[in-house]
Order: sequence, then structure tokens, then C-alpha cells
Amino acid sequence: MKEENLISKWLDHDLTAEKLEAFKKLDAFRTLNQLSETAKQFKAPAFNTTNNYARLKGKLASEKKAKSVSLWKPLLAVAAVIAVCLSLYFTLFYTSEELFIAQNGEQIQLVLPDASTVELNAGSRISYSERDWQENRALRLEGEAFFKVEKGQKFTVKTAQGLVAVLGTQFHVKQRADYFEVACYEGLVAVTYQGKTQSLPAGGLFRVINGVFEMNIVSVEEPLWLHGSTRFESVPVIEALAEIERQFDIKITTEGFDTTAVYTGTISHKDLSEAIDAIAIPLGLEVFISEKSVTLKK
Amino acid sequence: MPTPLIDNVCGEHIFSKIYQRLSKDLHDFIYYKFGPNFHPEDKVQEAFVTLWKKCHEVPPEKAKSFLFTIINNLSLNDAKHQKVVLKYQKTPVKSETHITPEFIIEEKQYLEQYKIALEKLPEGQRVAFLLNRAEGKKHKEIAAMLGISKKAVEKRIYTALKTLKKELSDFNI
Repeated sequence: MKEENLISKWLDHDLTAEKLEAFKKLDAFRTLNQLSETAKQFKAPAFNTTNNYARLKGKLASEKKAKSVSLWKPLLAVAAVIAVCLSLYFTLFYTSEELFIAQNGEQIQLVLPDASTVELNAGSRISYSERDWQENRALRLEGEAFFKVEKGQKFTVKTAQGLVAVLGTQFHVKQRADYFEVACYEGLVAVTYQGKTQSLPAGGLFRVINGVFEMNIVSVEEPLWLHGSTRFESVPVIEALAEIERQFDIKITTEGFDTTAVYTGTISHKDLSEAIDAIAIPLGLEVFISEKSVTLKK
Repeated sequence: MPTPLIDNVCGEHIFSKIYQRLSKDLHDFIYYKFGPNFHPEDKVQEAFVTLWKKCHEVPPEKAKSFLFTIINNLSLNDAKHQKVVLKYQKTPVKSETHITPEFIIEEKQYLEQYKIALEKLPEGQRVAFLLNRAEGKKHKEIAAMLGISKKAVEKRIYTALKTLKKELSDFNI
């Protein structure tokens, strides 16, 4: 038998007594045997199966107990989720309150249950109760919107500053922090501001800026923002800048000039630098445009 | 296809049987692969706790590969932070009649060198070699235990032996 074969048989503990003698006569025997014998000194410590199994059973029993207690945890979690869902349902849907938001940089159009339409300008929100709509055509507006109201019951727009009530008409409401504007394009609108009601005929403009009230006439048939630009007639320049912030979803900072200066002009919603120039050039401002912000300096 | 009579390992009887059959092999596998510092005993218990928790999903014939995979993964998490350190028993196996001090010193050095060489071996080779030499397991048994072919086991043992021989060629005991 060849040496290699003998060694491999020996390694598999598979040598007959006779072959073992042959293996022992090999030159390599002494070294191999020494290596093999030394390996025995690295033998793993005895593993006491019986004792260890008893230990394991004790451990499993305690785990089981812990488990039966923790069974309540998922139940509690489910109960909590149900409670949250119910409260959400009641606050949001039970009153069937509909909410629409136009984020900065977007305009949305929506149709009310009576087929009246609303164009919602950037950075504005509108909410109304769908369930009560038949009896009471009323909605709440924060921001700026253009309404085409179908004929019918009184239609009311509530804002933080004032109330606009109409029967059937087209009108535009702009409500911002220190700014409230209603323009009537068709029919007749009743504007209630600080307890006083003012009727506004077609072509009429009602405006309050920083508490100063004025009446004017509208020069266009529809608000320009429906067609991608905004017309400003003698407004503080800060209002025009705020509008750019909403339309382009950017941040504008101003330095070294009076932001209450009166501005008249038209701002495009299509191109930011064009819109900025429409303000910066007449006022003689320096412009610094970066990715999400614009700085204007005198 | 006939449905097997026992399709999981949740029964106390079958679970205990699996423990009797595999716990020592699992222990030795981890001991030889990673060394005593990895607490092979605890790893065995942990692996069986995992098996118990998932007993409904494991049919008896899958229990072995399940346990070996689990115990290997458990130890690998620790293995990232530790080096393999082996231990040898202090009592020499062979009894020489004429033991000189030089011989004792040389034997000690030999054992140290052997330990270092073993620690340096690739894990797979060390496991196969020590299961074969220290535990006296046959190639077929090791192959079944590690889920590899008999040929692969032979190759691992043979390569390990060759490496050790080379590493210890300076000694002539």
C-alpha cells in the first residue's frame, strides 16, 4: 500500500491492525504521530449533556413565564392604535371637514360640492364642511383664492380679517398677515371687516393694508395670478416680496432699504430672476441669488 | 407526498433527543472554531433557546442545520472583536521514562509553537483537524456535521497536518 493511502486511512481512523504496523514503519510516522498526539491536548473540555439540558430547561421555563406576561404588550399596542385611529376619525372626518392646501410654489384648482370653483394660490389653504354644504355654503380661507360661485344660497368666505358673503359671482380674496383684499369681478359681494359691511360691485376692489382701508377699481377681468403673474397696485414692497417667496418657495432677505416703500408692478411666476428684477430694478437694489434664497441690498 | 408524522420540534421528547444528539457537537464546533473565550457552553444554550422559540417552524430533519447556522451566527457577532485563543491541557499525554530538564523545556516550547500554529490555521481546517485528531471523529461524521463533502474534510485535515508539520519542523522530539 502506498504511503499516501496509508496516511489518509490513518487520518480516517480506518487502519486495520496489520496496516497500522505498516504505517508505523513509515519514515513520517514519528512526526505524524507526535502531531496527532499533541492535538489531543487541545481537546475541548467535556460537555455535560445531562446537566446542561437541565439548565436549559430551567432557562426555557423562565422565558415562557416572561413571554406570557409580555403577551399583553401587543394587545395594549393594538388598543392604543385603535384609540388613536378613533380620535383621529372623530376630529377629522366626523365633521367631514375637507382641507385643501396649496404649498409654496404651487396653485391648485378645486370644485366645491355645488360646482362652484376655487383657484387656490401658492401658500394658501381652504377648508369647509362637506356635510353641511347644502345648508350653509361657507368656507374658511387662509391666503389667496379666486372664486367662481354658482347661483344659490349665500356663499361665505371666512378669513382671519374679514368675511366675504355673496350670492353668485366671481371674486378674489387675498388675506395675508397685514393684508386683506377682495376684488369683485362679477355680481355683488358683501365684505364684512371689523363689524362693518361694505358692498362691493363688479369691478370694485376692497383693500386693507396695515389697518388702512381703501376702495379702488380692478383693472383686469380676472386676477393675473390665474395666468402666471401677479399685479401689484401701490402695495408695500414687502408684500410683493412675500408673494415671490410663496410662488417660488424660496426665502428672501432684505438689507438696507425700507420694505414699506410703495410698489406698483407685475411679477411673473415663471422665472425667479425676472420676478426679482421687476422689483429690484425700479427700486435700485442689488440682487444675490443662491439655490434656495435671495438677498436684496441697497 | 406523505406528511411526516412529526413536522416540528416543539415536543419535549423530540427536543430533548435533539439536544442529546447535537449539543456536544455544537459545543465542540464552536470551541475548535473560536476557542474557549467564546463561551461555547453558553452559545449552545442560546442556540437551543432560539430553536425552542421557533420550534413550530423547524422540522426535525432541519434542526441540525438550523442549530449550526444559529450558533455560528451568534459567535460571529463576537468574533469580530476577539482573536482566537486556544488552550491545552497541562498534563502531558505521553509518559517518557527518562525525562531530562531540557526535554521538558523543549516540550513546553513545542506545545506553545503548536498552539500558535493551530490558532493561525483557517477556521475550517482547525475545526476539521481537531474534530478528527482530538475528538477521534471519522471523516464521514465530520462531513455530516459541517454539511460539507467527505473529500473536503479530507483535504482540510490533510492541509492542516501539512501546515503544522512545516511550522514545527524545527523541533525534533
